[in-house]
Formats: sequence, C-alpha cells, structure tokens
Amino acid sequence: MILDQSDSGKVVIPGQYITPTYKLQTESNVIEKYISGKGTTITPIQIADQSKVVSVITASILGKVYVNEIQSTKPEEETDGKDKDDEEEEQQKVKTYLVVVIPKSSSYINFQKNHQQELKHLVDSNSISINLPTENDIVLVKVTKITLKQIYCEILTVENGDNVLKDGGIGVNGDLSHVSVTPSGGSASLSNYQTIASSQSTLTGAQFQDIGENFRGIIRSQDIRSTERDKVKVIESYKPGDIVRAMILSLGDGSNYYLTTARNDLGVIFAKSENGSGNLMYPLDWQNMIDVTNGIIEKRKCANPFT
Amino acid sequence: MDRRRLLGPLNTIIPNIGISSNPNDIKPDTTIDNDEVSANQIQNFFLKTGIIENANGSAYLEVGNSIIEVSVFGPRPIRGSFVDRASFSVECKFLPYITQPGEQIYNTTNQFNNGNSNTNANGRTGLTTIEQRISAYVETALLPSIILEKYPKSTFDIFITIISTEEGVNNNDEDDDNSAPNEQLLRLTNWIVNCSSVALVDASVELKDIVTSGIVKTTSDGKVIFDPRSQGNEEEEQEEGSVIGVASFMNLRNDELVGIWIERQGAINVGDTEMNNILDGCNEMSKKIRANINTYLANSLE
Repeated sequence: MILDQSDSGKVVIPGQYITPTYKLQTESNVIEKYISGKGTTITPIQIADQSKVVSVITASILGKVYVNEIQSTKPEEETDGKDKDDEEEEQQKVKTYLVVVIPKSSSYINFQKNHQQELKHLVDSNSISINLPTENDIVLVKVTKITLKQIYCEILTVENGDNVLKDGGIGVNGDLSHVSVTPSGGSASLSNYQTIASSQSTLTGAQFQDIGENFRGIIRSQDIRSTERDKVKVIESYKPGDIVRAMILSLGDGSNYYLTTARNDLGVIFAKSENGSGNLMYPLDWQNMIDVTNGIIEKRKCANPFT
Repeated sequence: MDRRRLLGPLNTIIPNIGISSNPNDIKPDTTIDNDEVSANQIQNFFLKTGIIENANGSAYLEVGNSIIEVSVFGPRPIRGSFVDRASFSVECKFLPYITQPGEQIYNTTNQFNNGNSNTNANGRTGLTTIEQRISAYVETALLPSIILEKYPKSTFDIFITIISTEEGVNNNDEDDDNSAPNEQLLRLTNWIVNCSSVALVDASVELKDIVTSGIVKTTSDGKVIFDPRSQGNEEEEQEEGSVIGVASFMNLRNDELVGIWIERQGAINVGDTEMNNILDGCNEMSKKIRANINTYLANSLE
C-alpha cells in the first residue's frame, strides 16, 4: 500500500499510507526525507509483532498524491546545522521530497504543476488545512463596512488555494444555511437548529446565531499602506463592496482575522464607482481609479499587478 | 363557453398527471432466502456521496429497509472568543413519522420531561432520548479522527437524518422481550457511523483515518452473528444471555478503538470471552466495510 515516488497522481483515501518520513536507498547511500504537505498528516504506525513504531505520512483527504523533490537545500543547512555535520561525516546525501494530496476538483493542481518554485511556500504553510487562511496567506476579501479606524471585510478565497467556503461568498450562506433544513412554519423541524455546536467539544450553549456567515477580517488604518501611515484616510482607500487583495497578519481574535495591505502588490483590484452604483473602474496609479464610462476619478489604494 | 372559470388558451395541452407506475411494481426484491445468508456475512449496503448541494459534504446509505442521510457543514466560522481548534457537533433526527427503535423503552414520559416526549434530561431540547444517544455515540466515535487543530475558529456540524428504519420495529407490548429494539437501535447506529465517516470524507475534512464500525451479536452458546437476516425465524425467540455490541475503529491507524456500545438481555455482566468475541467480530466487520468504502471512494475519483 505504501506508494513509491513514481506513483504521483495516484488516488489516495484518508488514512492510506503514502510513505515513511525517512527512507534509505542503500545502493546510492542517499537518505530520502519526506515532508508532510497539504492534505497529509503523520501517523505513528505500529509494526505488527514488533514494538517498533514508524512515522508514516498518510493522506488526510480523498485526492491524488503528488511527490516532488525540493531542489534548494540552502535553508536546511541553516536550520539543522548539527545534523548536517553528522551527515557530512558519513558522506551521505539527503534528498528532500514534499508530499501533498490534492483534492479532485481544484484549481490548485494546475497551479502546483506550473509553479515548481512555489513548492517551498507550500512547505511553510503545512500546518493549515486545504482552504482555511493562515498567517502570510494572500487572500481576496470583500469590504463590508468601514469606520474611521478600520475596514471590516469578508474573506472570499485564499490565493493559490480554493474558496474559503464552498459557495465562495455568492450568498447561499445566510442565517438559514446554518440550519440544514429551513425551520418551516407549523410543521416539525427536521433539524434542531438551536443546538448547533453545543456539544462535548465546544462552548456550552452556543447557538446558530453565534456562527458567522463568512470568515471575517479587519484591516486597521495603519495597515493600509506602508508609508505615511498617520495621514492615511480610510475613506480614500477602500469603500464597501471593493474586492481587495490582502495578506493575513494574524489569526486575530475570535471573530476577525487581521489583514494588511501595506505592500505594493496589495490593495483594491476590483471596485465600482459611486459606491457601487457606477461601473467597474480601472487603476490610474496607486491611489486613483477611473470609471472610463463617465470619467469619474475616485481615490483607492490600488494593488500593483506587475510586481 | 364556460364564463365562470378562468380558462387557459384554446390550444392547451393537458399533461398526463396522476398516471404513474405502481410503486409496488418497481420495488426492488429485498426478500432473501434465509438459508443463503450465512452468519458471518455482512448485509449488503448501498452508498452514495455528494447528493446534497448546499452541504460541504454528504452521504446516503441504504441497508435493508434502513435509509440514512448525513450532511456535513463546515468549516464555518464561529464567533466569540478565540479557539485554536475546530469544534464539532452531531445531531441525529428521525423523520417525524418514523417509529424510533426502542421508543417505548426510552422515549416514554417520566418525571424529567413532564409528559413532553420531545425533550429529555440531557439538556438538548428537541432531541429525543434515542436521538441523543445516537448523536452522542457518533460524536464520540468520529471526534478522534478529525484533525481539529487544522481548523482554528471554526465549527463542523453533522446532521443525520433517518429516513426509514427496519420494519417490525414497532413492538407495542412493553412486557415483551425488549432486546429486539435494542438490537435495531445498535444496528442503526452502526450504519450511521459508517455513513457519517463517508460524509466527512466527501466534505474534504482532514481526517487521521476513516472511522468504520461493526456490529455483532453473540448468543449464549458462543455463536457470533453478523447479519440479522441469518437468524431467520428464530428472531422471535430471543435467547436469554445474548449480547449485542457496536464498536468503531480506525483500522488503518493501528486498529484504534474509538467507540463501543454494548447491550445485553438478561444478566448484567459481560464476560471477558464475550467481550473479546464482540471486539474481534466488530473489528472484522469494520475492516470489511472499510474495504468496501475504500473501493467506493477510489472509484468515485476516477
């Protein structure tokens, strides 16, 4: 059941063994090190009739497995210097591979095939699941509300990943979607929607109103741009309805992720003029956008697509 | 011309409604010759995933006359204080017109619910005692398999709907032997666990392993039975001392035991040998079901 490196593209099922974390090729005296990437987890497997336990990379989702060698070895030398010395004495070479499982329908597969150089990024983001954002992820958000101090938004999708929620924010995730079947008037409700998430593993008494519609984020005014932070005006940067490319600063508090756009390639990518009643606008420079139909110029903090 | 009614256009074609095929004619043949079913065979089941569009994942399972549908919602954000891992809840509901297995025993009026059969002493309003017991077992069994750390600030909710149960469950005489309803309840729970695991896979929730479950019945003379049909007509006479048990495992993860539920008719103690027989039997059945699920999932991707 354990797959060889040549078996990339094979279907794996959650729990299925992919490869042990270390392999020794005796002929070539090469240690093969496998890193558990997205869609995999490391399971201690007990070998039958022995007390020995082997760490095995197993699939955690249904999908196809891809094993790719990580070419650059520089960061490794820095991180585990001691191990390196030992290895040098034994004149052994360590080859590092990344194991990822890609779910069936994912724009991810193509991305991953086309961007071999991005693989290291995937290693870094190992700890997150398929579609939840984590620190340093680039996300697309929709601005929902602005105040003098911060911008509230909903996270739509993680760049290089899938939509955060299945519906991608298109609107089937209102209050009612948290109830598996709509509580219909008069007849017996098929689901007891009041007790969602009130079980052994969670806060007691949580009700479905406590569950949000979407993962939300906050961009504080000092995180809008990297220069002249004290002079920034929220209203001249973002308006409700804008689609913004932002980076996750931290997981934030219980309700919101903290986001930043203090980089040239981050900021508004889609916006409509006149508070959304106008037409789609095009960026003129990093802080102006133009509606070509009626010539209105509005202020936005635009993302530079060419960096 | 009829002026009292609003008539449609003159060239209206009236569709042939009301003419349907007789459902009795297309009913699949579920009658099985009891002689052909051996005691160590597992009941056939039908499984399908992804039938509910609005859910993140779903599964549908038919076994015998039981029909189970499971939908998984999540990861969804949860408001309030920061939690570094996902929370998980299970809710099992029978359709309103379904007779719940053992409802004469468990869902009766008592001092706790003041005659309202729709509440129980467990603090979960709207769930009957039976629904609560099933929900609690499924939650216990599935919780160890989910990698909760990968989903901070979120929640998974599993909704189980029982669309149909075995016929003949409705055993109105309370004085009568009550091991049959218990057995039905455990059999149903067994298939609910299997169906829910597949729904979790369909939702692409990251899992340590797929949880599968098995059920066996040991008779007083030490016989181990997998398939209820193999008992045939003997089912009427429930022998004293038969033990029935459900156990759930993560079979690819060192056969880790994640849940166990045992019911016994008669004497209270379950001996070591009986316990071992039940666990071994459940594990064997769980592995067979797992093999079937694996094949189904692998084929579903190709």
